[in-house]
Order: sequence, then C-alpha cells, then structure tokens
Amino acid sequence: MLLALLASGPALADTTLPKEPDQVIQPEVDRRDVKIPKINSSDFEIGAYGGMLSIEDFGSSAVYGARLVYHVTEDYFVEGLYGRSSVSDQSFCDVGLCLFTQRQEELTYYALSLGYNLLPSEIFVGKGYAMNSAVYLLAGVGNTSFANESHFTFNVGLGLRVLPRDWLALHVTLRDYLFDTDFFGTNKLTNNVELTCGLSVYF
Amino acid sequence: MSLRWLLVVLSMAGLATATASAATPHYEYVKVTDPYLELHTGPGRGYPVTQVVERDQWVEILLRRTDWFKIRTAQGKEGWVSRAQIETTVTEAGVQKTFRDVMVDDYLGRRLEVGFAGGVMQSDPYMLARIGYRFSDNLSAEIAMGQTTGNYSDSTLYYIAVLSKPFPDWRVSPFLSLGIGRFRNTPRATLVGGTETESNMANAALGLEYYVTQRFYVRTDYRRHMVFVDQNRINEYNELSLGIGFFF
Repeated sequence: MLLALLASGPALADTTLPKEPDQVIQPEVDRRDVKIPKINSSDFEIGAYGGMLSIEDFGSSAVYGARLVYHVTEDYFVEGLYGRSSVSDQSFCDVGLCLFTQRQEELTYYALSLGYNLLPSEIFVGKGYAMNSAVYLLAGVGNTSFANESHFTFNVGLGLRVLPRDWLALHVTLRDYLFDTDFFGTNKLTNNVELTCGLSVYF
Repeated sequence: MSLRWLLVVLSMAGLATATASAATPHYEYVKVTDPYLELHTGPGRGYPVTQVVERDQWVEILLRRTDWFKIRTAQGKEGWVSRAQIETTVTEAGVQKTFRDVMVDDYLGRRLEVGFAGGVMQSDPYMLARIGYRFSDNLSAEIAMGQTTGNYSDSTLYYIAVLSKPFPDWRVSPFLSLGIGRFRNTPRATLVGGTETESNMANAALGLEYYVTQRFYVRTDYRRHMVFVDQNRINEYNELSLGIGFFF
C-alpha cells in the first residue's frame, strides 16, 4: 500500500501543476500605497546666554554669547560656544603699569566641549507641574583672545538644564576657563570663572 | 462668463482644502507587537514608566530625541519610548520597522558631515573644525579651518582637502588625503619686530576612521603641511590630531 502511494506521488504532482496559458484566476492585487512620513528629530539646541566673566588679575565684566548643542545620546552631548566680554587694565594703570594699548579691550572666546548629563531628573513646581532637567558636567578646549593675543583655553564646567517644554531649555552654567598668560614676564596658568544663564530652543 | 467664475471659485476652494489637509502633520503610525510598550515621562532610562500600551494598539510617533521616541496613544496619552522597544512595532504597511537598519543605511547614505579635532602641531596645541561632503563611499572632500597657539606666534590654517578611502566597509577604515590652502602666522604682540605673514600651503595626510555609532565616528590624522613661505623656503609642520565627526 505504501508502494502504491509512492507510485502515485509523482503522478499527483504532475496534475497539480497549472499550465501557464490556461490559468483561470488572474490575481491582481493592488499594492496599498502607504507613504511613511519622516520622523521629526530634535537633537540640536541653539540658544543665547549672558552673565558674568571674571578674568584673573584684571576684574569681572559682563559676558554674552551663543551656544549650539548636539545631543548624541541621552548621556552625552557636544556644545559649541562663542562669547564676548571685555577686560580692563584700569587697576594696573592706576598704579602706573599700563599693560594694554587701550583701557578697555574686547575679549572673545570660542570653545568646543563634551558634556555629560550626570543627574537627569525631574523638577517639580507646586503640585501639578513637572519639568525634565539634568545636572551636567562639561569639559572642552577652545581659544580666548584679547589685547591682540590669543590663548589656547581649556574649560570645565557644571550646569543645570531645565526643560519647561520639550523644545525649550533654561540653563544655568558655572564654567572655569584655564589659559596661560605672560603679562608679567612669566607664564602662569589663570583660572577665569564664568557664571551665566541661558535660554535655548531645540530643533 | 459666470461659468468661468464658477470654475475659478471651485479650483480655489479645491486648492484651499488641499493646503489645509497638507497643513495637518501626518505622523507615523506603528502597531505594538510586544506584550507591552512602556511609556516613560522623559527621554532617559531613569525616568519612571507611568503608562503602558498593550499589544495591537496603534501609537503615533511624534518626535525623536537621541534614542528616545515621543509617542501618543489612541487615547491621547504621551510618553517616551526607547528605541529598542519601538523597533519591534509594525508599521502601517505591515512591515517591522527596523530603526537600526534605517539608521545604518542613513550612515552610508548621509552625505554631509561635520567634525572637530584636537591635537598637536610641532608640539603646540592645535584645534580644527571641518565640514565634509561624501561623494561616494570611497571619495569625499572637506573644508577645514585650524588654529594653533604657540609660545611665539599663533597660526591659522584654511584648506580644502580630498579624502580617499580604499576600504570604506572596514570598521576601522584608513584614508589618504591631499589638500591645499592658506597659512597665516601672527606673532605674539609681546615680540618685537614680528610681522604677520600669509602664504600658500599644501598638505598630505594619512589617517584612520572608526565608525562608532550610527551618527558619529572617531578619526585620527597624521598630516604634513608644507608652507610656501617664499621662493627659497618651504616650512614643514607635522600635525597629529584626534577628532570626532557627525553625519547629517
């Protein structure tokens, strides 16, 4: 009986194959045209900040600047800064030692830093309002120029970022710029601390 | 006359409705195939899960930030879902949306890249920024601007370079680069008698590029700059730098 089944096997196979020109059913299924839209992404942040910058040996003055941030992962981001301030040697001139060609010199700096979101969190205001936030650390390199000299600068910082909306961020940043100066004959490493508040938009 | 006016009015009404429907944003819909999809309150692994979406529910993807996606459920609840979870959902066409594949393809398909690097040039610290364009897997071009600050002078370099990658599909891919540009040297103000000089420059480099994730790579360059100061003098500077780059 098994042999009979086996013998009929190939014969069955022959009869089940449809002959091409005599196909009765012509399947015509329209491909459903589904357009897949692009997903919006907002990894970039652009904003402005302002505050105070203190230059070692010279004094403090207001600083303002622009910031562009790219969030790489939920933990790391890269930040580019450009800021302007001014520096004055008035105190030195008062004791007879004028260092700059004019009393008030313009200072500009730019810096590229890597940031790490150390403490992502939520900030609660009152009973029903919560905002995403993060305390972050920054470290980077850049350049500071004033009085016709430019100085290679390291910067380290600590900041707080609060997001009242998904697309808006408020920043408070404390940063230390380290660079060498040789105004007094010898090279020395100076610490220049900056405290700023900023507002940025995600796009 | 009146028929023509009627046609004009109808066509304008048609245009108005067309633009109105185009103005409402069409977000992507995906269907949940896992038992649950967890919605976090923020785009991070530490944020608590306050909602879940069950299997066979449709969700709308509103936004992506890093590896997190903000979605809205059919009931209007919004939350953030990690990429790993959303990868298992199914699109309207019934196909599993592999975000990882999409992003890897994006890496190979993305043309514009921006990079920054830091290093040393003749033992002085050196920084540079560059924008590049990939013509193909093997050939790309870039514009770069670098700055080095030394004890006696500062130098700024601008150059255009062409990069050739013979093995682009290797994870650590070597490249050869040739470039031309300008070199500007500004002596320190405290030096007496220094003058600013600007000259033409050519450079050649060897380097390695390591593709870290879908969006960025790490690159190291060893570049030799030849500055044509005048007819008799060519200054040569060696640069070694390490940098990162992002794709757009």
